[in-house]
Amino acid sequence: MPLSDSPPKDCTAATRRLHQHILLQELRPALDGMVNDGDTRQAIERLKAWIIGNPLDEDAFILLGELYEQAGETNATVVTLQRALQLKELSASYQPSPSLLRFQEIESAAVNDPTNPLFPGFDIQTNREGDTRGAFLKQHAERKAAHE
Amino acid sequence: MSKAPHTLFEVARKMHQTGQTEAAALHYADLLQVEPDYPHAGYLCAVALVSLNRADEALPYIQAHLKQRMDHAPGWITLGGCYAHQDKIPEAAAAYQEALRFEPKNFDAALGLGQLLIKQESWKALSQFADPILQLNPSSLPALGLKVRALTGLEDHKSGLAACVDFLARNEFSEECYKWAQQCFHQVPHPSEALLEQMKAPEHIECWILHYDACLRAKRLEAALETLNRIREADPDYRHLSLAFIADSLQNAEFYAEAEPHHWELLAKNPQDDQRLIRLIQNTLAFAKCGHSEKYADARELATILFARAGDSIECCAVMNDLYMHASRPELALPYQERILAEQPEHPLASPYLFVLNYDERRPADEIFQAHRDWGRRYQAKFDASHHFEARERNPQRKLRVGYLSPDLGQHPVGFFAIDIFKAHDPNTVEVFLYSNRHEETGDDKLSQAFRAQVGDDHWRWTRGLSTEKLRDLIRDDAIDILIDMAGHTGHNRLDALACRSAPIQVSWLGYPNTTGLETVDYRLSDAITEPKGAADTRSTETIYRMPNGFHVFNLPAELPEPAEPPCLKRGYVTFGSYNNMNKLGSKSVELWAKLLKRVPNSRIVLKHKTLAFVDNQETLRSLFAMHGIQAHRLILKTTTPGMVEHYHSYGEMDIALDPIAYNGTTTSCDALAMGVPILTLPGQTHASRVTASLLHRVGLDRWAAQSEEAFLQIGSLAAQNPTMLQQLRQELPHRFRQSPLGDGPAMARDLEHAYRDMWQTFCYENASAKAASTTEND
Repeated sequence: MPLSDSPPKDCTAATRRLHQHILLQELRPALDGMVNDGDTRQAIERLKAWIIGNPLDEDAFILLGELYEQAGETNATVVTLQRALQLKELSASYQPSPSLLRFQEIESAAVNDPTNPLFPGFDIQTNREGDTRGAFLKQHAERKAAHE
Repeated sequence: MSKAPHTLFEVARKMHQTGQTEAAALHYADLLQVEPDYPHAGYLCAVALVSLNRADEALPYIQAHLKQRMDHAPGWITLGGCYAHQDKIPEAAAAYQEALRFEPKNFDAALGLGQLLIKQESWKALSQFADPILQLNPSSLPALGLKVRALTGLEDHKSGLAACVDFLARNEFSEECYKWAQQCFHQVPHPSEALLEQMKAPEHIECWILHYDACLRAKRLEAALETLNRIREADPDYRHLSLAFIADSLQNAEFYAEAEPHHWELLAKNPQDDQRLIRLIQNTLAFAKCGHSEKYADARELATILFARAGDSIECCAVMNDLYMHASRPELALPYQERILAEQPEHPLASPYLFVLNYDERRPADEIFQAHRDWGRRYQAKFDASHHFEARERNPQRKLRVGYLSPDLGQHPVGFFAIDIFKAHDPNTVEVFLYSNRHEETGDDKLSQAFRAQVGDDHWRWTRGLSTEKLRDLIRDDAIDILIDMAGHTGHNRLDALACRSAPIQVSWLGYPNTTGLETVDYRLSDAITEPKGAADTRSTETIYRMPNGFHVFNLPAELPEPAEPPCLKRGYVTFGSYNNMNKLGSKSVELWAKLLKRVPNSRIVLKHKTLAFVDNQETLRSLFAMHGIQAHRLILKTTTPGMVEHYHSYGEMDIALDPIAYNGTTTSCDALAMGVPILTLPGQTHASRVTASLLHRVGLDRWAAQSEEAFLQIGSLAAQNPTMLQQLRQELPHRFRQSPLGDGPAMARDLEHAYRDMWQTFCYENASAKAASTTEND
C-alpha cells in the first residue's frame, strides 16, 4: 500500500536536507555569491561537498572545472573537465535499467486499463497515481531525448 | 413434603446431563444429606463441583464415595483432579495411580498424570510417559498434546514437529495439531532430509504449505517448487497461500532470482503498492550482493521511484540506507539512519547505527561516544542486571572460568585473530568456554570446527536463537567468572547477555573498535597506543585495560606465499594501495590519498574490494579522486580475489599500503605487514583510527604513523623515492611480523591470563571491602 499520501516529488525539508537531494541549480546561487565575494576556494569546497553525494553528475564537474579555472588551478581544471567528459559519455550510453522499464510498463498498463479497480478516477488531475506515472514517463522521455 | 431419594437423584442427574451443573450439585448435596450412602451421588456431586472449579467443596464428597467404592477408577480420577486443583501434586499422582491400578488402560487417569508432569515441568518424565499412551491411543489428540508438550519442553522441536506431522498423516485434519506443528516449525531453522520426507506425507494443503516452507529453510529449492506447484494446482486462487507469501518466503530463503517474478506479479496487480516495491528493491539489492552486480543499477532506479513517491517515510529511508550501505557509502547512509532513529529510537538499526558511526570521518569522537552511551542507557533499562553472584567463591588466586562470546568464531577476521590464543591458554590458570552465536547448521566451518576441537564439545556452546534469559542462565550455570564479548555492535552480537549481567566480570575485546556503551561491561581490552591514557578514558563506559604488548595476535595461513618484489622496481612508478572494506574509504581519506598521489608524480593507487564489482561504485571513486585532481587512469580498481592465496599474492601489486583515516584496517593491515608491505597511517583520536599505529609499533615501524597530514604526505613521498628501502622491508617485515607479539599466540595468552587475574582480584577485593563496609554500617 502507498506509504505516503503526499504527492510525489514533494518531500519535506527534512529529507531534502540530505545533501544528495539538493539540486545543483539550488546550490548555484550560493556558489555564485561566494565567487562574487572573491572566495572561489570556498565555492570549490562547497561544490566538492555536494559532489560527494552526487558523484556522477557531469554538470557539477563542468562547474567545478570552471571554478578551478577561475582559481588558476590548471591541472585540476583539466582533470575535472576530463571527468565531466567521461561522465557525459557514460550518460550517453545510459540505458534505463530493465527493472525501471518494466515498472513503467506495468504502471502504464495498469493506468490505461479501465477495468483495473486500483485506478479509479485516474483522470482526475489531483490523482496521485497519475502524477507518479506522468512524472516518471516525462522524466524518462526527457532523458531519452537528451541522449538522442 | 420432601422428595424421595430416587426422585431427587433422577432430577439431579437430568440437570447434570442438560448442563445445569450448579443446580445439579445442589440436588446431589441435598440427596446426600438425606441419604449419605446413595450410590454414585457423592461421585457425581464431586464431578459437578470440580467442573465448576470448586474442588475444595468436592473433596469430602469424593472421599466419602471412595470409602464405599474403593475400586471405582473414575472416582480416583476425580479425586486426583481435586488434589491437582489444590496443587497437592503427590496426592493427586497417588490418586491417578490408584485409578490405573484398577483400570490399567484408563486414558483419563493417564492424561491426569501427564498434566501433573506438565505442572512440574518434568519434561523428560513426561516424554517417557507420553509415548506408550500415544501408542495405545494413536488417534488421541490429547495424548499427542502430552507428547508435543514434553518435546517442546525439552526443546526438541524437530521431534515435536515430526510427531505432529505423523499424526496429521494418519488422522483427519486437526486445526489444533496443525497449530502445534506450526509452533514447533518456528523453532526448526534447518529441517533435516528425513523430516522433509516425513512432512510430505499428510494429504492436507496446510501441511503442503508447511512442507514448502521447510524445503526453503533447508535450501531445497527444487523440492520447494515441486510442492508449490502441488499447492497452486489445488489452490489456484491463492486462498491458502498468498502470492505475497510465496514472494517473501523465497526472498527470505535467499532465492532472489525465484522471488523476483512473484514480486513483479504482485506489482503488476497493484503498481502503487509501496511495500511490495520495497520488497522488490531489497530483493534486487540482495541479488546484486550475491555476485549479480548488474542488479545494483536496477535497485537504484527502483529506489528512485520509491523516493519520489514516499521519500519521507521511514520505510523509504531504510531502503535508501540499504542502497548506500550496499554501495559502501556509509557517509551517505548515516543521515537516513538518523532520520529513522529520530522517529523510532528503538528501531533495529539503533545498534548497527553505532557501528556505522565509526566510519564517519567527520564525526567528533565525543559525539560518537555520546551516541554509544545514550544507546547503552536506553538498552540497559530493559534488563535486570542486579545479580550479585553471591555464591561464587571469591578466592583471588583460584582457577578462573573464562567464557568467550562471539558470532565470529569461524571464518571471520575475529576468528583469525583468536584462533592462536585459546589453545595457548594455561589450563591450570583458566578454563575456557566458547559461546558461538553462529548458525550451528551453516556456520560450523573449518575454523569453527578448529575452535570446537580446541575446547572440546563439553566446553562449546551454540547460542544462536537462545533467548536472553536462556543464554544468561547458560553462562551463569557454567559459572563463568569472566565473560569476554567479541562482537560489540557488529552483526549478530549478544549484547543482551551482557546487559543482563551474565557473569561477575564482563569484558569487551577484539570485535569492536569502540565502547559498547553498556555500564555492565566492566573492562575493554586495548593498549596505550590505540587508546592513550586521558581523553580515551572519558569516552568509554568500560574501564580501559591497556595490554602491555597490544591486543592482537594474527593467524597467518599455512600456505602464505613468498612476498613479491615491490612492483615499482619493474614499473618505474610507485603504486599505493588499500584492500580495505570500502565502507572505510570516506571522502576525507580519498582527499588525503589524492594529495599524496599528486605529490608523487606518476604514482598509481590500487583499490580492491568486493563492492567494486558494482559499476556505480567504480565510477563514484573515479569521480571522488577526479574532484581532487586525480585522473581516472591512476586508479586501479579490483574486486575480490577468488581465494586467500590469491589475496596474499595480490599484495605484489602495491608498494605502499594506505590506511583509511577514520576506521583503520586491522586484518588488512596485518595482511600487508605479513606480506612485507609497509602501511602509512594517520592516527586520529579514536580507537578505530589508531589501531594500525599499534600494529606498526609491534613490528618496529612507528615512523610510518604520521603525526599530521603534512607528515603523512612527506613520509609517503619520501618512501616512494626509496625503492631500496621498500625492497628491504619486503624481505624483513614478514620475519619481523612472526617474531613480534602479532605472531606470538602463547605470549598473548599469558598477557590475557594476567589481565584476567588483575580483574578478578580487583573484583574480589572490591567485594570484600563492600562487605566490610556494610557490616560496619550494620554494627
